[in-house]
Amino acid sequence: MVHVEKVPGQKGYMVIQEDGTILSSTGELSSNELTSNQITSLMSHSLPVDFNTSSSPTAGLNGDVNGSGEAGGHLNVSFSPGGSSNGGSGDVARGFKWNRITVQFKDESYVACLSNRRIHVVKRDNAESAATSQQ
Amino acid sequence: MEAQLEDQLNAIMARPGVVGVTCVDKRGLCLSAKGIASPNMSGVLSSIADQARKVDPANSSSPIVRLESDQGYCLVQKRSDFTLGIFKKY
Amino acid sequence: MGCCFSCNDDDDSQGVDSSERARLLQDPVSNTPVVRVPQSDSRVVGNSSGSHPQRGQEDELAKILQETASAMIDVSGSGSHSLDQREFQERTRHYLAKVQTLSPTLLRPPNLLLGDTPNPEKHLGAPLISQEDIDLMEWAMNEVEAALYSIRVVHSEDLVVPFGGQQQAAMSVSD
Repeated sequence: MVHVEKVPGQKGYMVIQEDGTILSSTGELSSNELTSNQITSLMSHSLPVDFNTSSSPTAGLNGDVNGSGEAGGHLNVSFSPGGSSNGGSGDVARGFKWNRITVQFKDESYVACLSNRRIHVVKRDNAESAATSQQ
Repeated sequence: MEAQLEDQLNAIMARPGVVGVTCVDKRGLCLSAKGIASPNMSGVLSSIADQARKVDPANSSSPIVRLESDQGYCLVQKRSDFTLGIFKKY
Repeated sequence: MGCCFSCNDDDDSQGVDSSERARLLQDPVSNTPVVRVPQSDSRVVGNSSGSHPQRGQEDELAKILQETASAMIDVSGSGSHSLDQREFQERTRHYLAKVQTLSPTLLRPPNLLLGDTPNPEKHLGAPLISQEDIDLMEWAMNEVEAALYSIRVVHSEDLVVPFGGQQQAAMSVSD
């Protein structure tokens, strides 16, 4: 069990399996299947990104890339050839990983990360989190 | 026609730390992608923004999604007509 | 005839082994010969439709009753198949192994958006989105929205193209 009491502004916590089964839950996330299902479907995306792309950040500035068919090929230079949208099988996908996802609403946020093939989700109060982190 | 959108995305690209930006229409199709953003990402970004909104259905506001990696992070938000993704490096 | 009960094929094996082919619920009603009605029914309906509407209605009701009786499975009548924990796990393993041989890719864990991290506490307690980034997003969203609303389709060619003339020309060529 992870100690989430120390997390600033935490209002609830849950650990879910990759298939969405709730393993444990506390606070406002107690037995909240809606949240667990939604977090699970959020997890079932694949978005490999190459932040260390060789092309300069201004490569796209010439206005070539505007969603037309030919423009697609232009940017693929900076993208893994195998990484066709959802496939996630390119070199980038293999070496790259997102560590954490934050879904921030006006007053509350949900932070999730994956550890030991289990999804940890914590619900946090925005104002309280900000106040604590400033101290 | 879409010159104003291009100008606007260029202005976003000029902000400090921004290395990529993409604008996606409500069907998940790419309107424009710059920097490290790729048209390939359009559907996924749109879908992530969609699913994120449903994490807390009681909350009517559209959430900002932040995905973080060791090298940088990505901010995604959706409005009724479009989704915007911004990539920033640390 | 139309109303066959496919479970009759399984009658021989029933009760012998409690493998994956074993039925969870026995179907006592469907094994009784009472319910073979549709044939006679259709005949009756055909006769009565003209002369005796009252009779036809009764027959219809009787038909519904019999159909319901045939579709009903008396749960209380069947013996319970309680699995103890050990047997449950054994079967789970058995089925997983079978699925694995049929389709090796089916049971592979799905690709997830996030990568595995060793220290969840560190990530869960990290600062939320900074005010700077929230402001950036707010600004960018408003600007892009305004830009999108300004998009107008500018037509540079004729909106109406006369296909008729070309079609006739093409047909005359093919002749």
